[in-house]
Amino acid sequence: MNPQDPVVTGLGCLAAGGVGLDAVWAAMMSGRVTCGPPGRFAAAPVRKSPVFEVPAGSWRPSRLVAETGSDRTLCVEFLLVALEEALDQAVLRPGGLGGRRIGVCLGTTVGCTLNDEEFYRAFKKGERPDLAAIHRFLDHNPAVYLARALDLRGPVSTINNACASGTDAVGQAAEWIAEGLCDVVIAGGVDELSRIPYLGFSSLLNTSEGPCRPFDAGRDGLNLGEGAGVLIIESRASAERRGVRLLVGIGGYGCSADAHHVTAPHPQGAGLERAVRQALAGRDPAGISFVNAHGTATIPNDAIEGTTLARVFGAGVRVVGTKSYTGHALGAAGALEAVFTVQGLLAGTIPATAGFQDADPACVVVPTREATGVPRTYAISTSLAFGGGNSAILFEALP
Amino acid sequence: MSAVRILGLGPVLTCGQGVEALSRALAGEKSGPPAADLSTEALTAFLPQARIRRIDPFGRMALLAAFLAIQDAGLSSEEARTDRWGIVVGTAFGPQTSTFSFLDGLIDGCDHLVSSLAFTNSVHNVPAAQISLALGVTGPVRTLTAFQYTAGTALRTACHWIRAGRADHVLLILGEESSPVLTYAVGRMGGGAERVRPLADECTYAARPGCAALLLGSGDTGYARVLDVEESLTTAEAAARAALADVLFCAASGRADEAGDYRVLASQARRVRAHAPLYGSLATSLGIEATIAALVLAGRTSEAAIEAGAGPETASPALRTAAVAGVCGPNRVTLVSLGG
Repeated sequence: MNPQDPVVTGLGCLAAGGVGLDAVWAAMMSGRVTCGPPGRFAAAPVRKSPVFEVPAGSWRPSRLVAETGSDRTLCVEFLLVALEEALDQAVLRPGGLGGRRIGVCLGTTVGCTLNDEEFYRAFKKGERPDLAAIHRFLDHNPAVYLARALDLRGPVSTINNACASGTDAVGQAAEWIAEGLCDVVIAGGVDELSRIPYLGFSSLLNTSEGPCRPFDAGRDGLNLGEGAGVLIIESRASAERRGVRLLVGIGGYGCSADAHHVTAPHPQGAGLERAVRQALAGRDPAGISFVNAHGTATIPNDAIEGTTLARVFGAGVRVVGTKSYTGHALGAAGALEAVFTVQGLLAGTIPATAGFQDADPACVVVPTREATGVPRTYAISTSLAFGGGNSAILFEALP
Repeated sequence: MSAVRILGLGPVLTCGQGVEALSRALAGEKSGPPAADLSTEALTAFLPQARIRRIDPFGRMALLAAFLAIQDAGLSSEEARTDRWGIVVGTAFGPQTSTFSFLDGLIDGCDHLVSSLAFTNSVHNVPAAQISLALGVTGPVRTLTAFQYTAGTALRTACHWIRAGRADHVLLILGEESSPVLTYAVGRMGGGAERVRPLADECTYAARPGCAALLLGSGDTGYARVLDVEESLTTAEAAARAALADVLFCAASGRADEAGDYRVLASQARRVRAHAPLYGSLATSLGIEATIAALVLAGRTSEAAIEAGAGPETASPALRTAAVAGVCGPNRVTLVSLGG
């Protein structure tokens, strides 16, 4: 490895299964699925679908930033909780970050969209509503918020590449490190459940009325979820200089567009295959440990993704679909799955794909039915996005 | 940073669409405040109406800018049909028409009758997807949205892709829509002036729609070289660097809270230009100022003729370097260095 190669030194997350990686991972390894009707909002969609909601009261408002948490968006609150955990593991003291060349690169969708229904309802009625909702939006773009709150001096980027945002954020952060733009990057993704995507996805008729079942022959759609995944990424030289543990290396990143359809993946998975092969960066596909697949549990996604993965890695490749434990957390999805991919490599084991019972020949690959031991080589996490974006990130075990 | 060149420009602004129209506006042929609306009818010259029908206003604006930039570079849009081209879209507010159209459906109708098309178009990366679909671009495609940080990061990402070999050409598109909600909010915040005064003490923010496409690539031709993109500089650091350039272009939008930082930048610069009075206030106007800077460096418009928001009005020899500055927050500046 070169001194400028990106490595991961800290992980943090929260999702429906718990707060903190230990809790979320334990829930996944025990096969515990925690989805249900939306608890924070009422909705009457065309198709009712359970969601993976972070339980109210399961986390404490973060004290990472001195200001009161009362006006923070849930996105920012989730982000801070996950960040505290990641900084702690990376042995980075929050008070020591200010003024340093630290970048922030985060994916989100809800977190950067002006979607305040109450404000807009009042505006439409001509009531001249108070601008609190607008200020809340302007003040809580996740990456901008963090850069300002912690007085960071590196590049700042919020990526909205829909469902691939989190993976692209991790990939872009790794590129910043390799370029020498900064010493450390806070990377990942965050999203909160909201009525807007809940009703929007329902209108597309791609949600399931039950818990989602990635790659199962009887799968019938996705469930939405929420949460945050944060990875502390830095150069190998920086991590070694600080004397902290190098968890894994980031060995490759690929991104490629389908140019096929706004909401449907390319039927042959052409864009995904390009992204995966870019991420492999010349490695022998036979050496892969596992793939944490996008695995939304929609009929087309899983068939196209499974077929493509089989084409690159062989039909026997180990595949896990962790959205069966988190739901589809949109801008956070790729980041959560990146965190789980790293954890799988570190633990040498990956969970069962919840809800999976019957293999679908159309998917070719068969996901994990039970917790499965995996070799500590390298693993890939994939994302396919609205708009035809495909992304893949490769994590590599370190000796 | 090794040389990445600006090969083509596609401005779609209320003061003019395309390089020639923008040059005329810069030369003073347009007077008065920028119009409130932006027509994208010219898109029919590039795409059949049937293809345009389901694309929302933001997508149409971005597509038109993309086509204009490709045409301006002397390339055919067919050349974009490859995985060697990429697209980076930067926008602070995203597709506002579709965002509020979806909410209209919710409020005026009911939960189960919302428009799937409005929802799809409201997703911020769909304009980039529409460009990818229309042109057949299958390389990397990304959408960034971090308010005033957006444009600088987007430009650097595009340059990185070219330098790292991810793409040979990248379409960089930076733009904003306006909306009744934004106009209302700006008005309540003290903005809504008829004409922007970029470095003035008081708020003269006047939100307008607009978009700038820059086609980037390598080679020896084109308008200008992108020498460097530096982010999160302090204002003092940025001022010291900007002072080395022949001219400083400020992406000042008339916000009172950024004017002080711009004035510090301007105080040390050799010459200062800021053109928001021509095109209005946009969070991603760094792209528009970079477009104008590229035109000036290429000698395509007279620097002395440019309407200035501040700075001395002196005729000058040919310019060789330009800095384009965008204030991202208190004491935080993105600085783009361009060379002729």
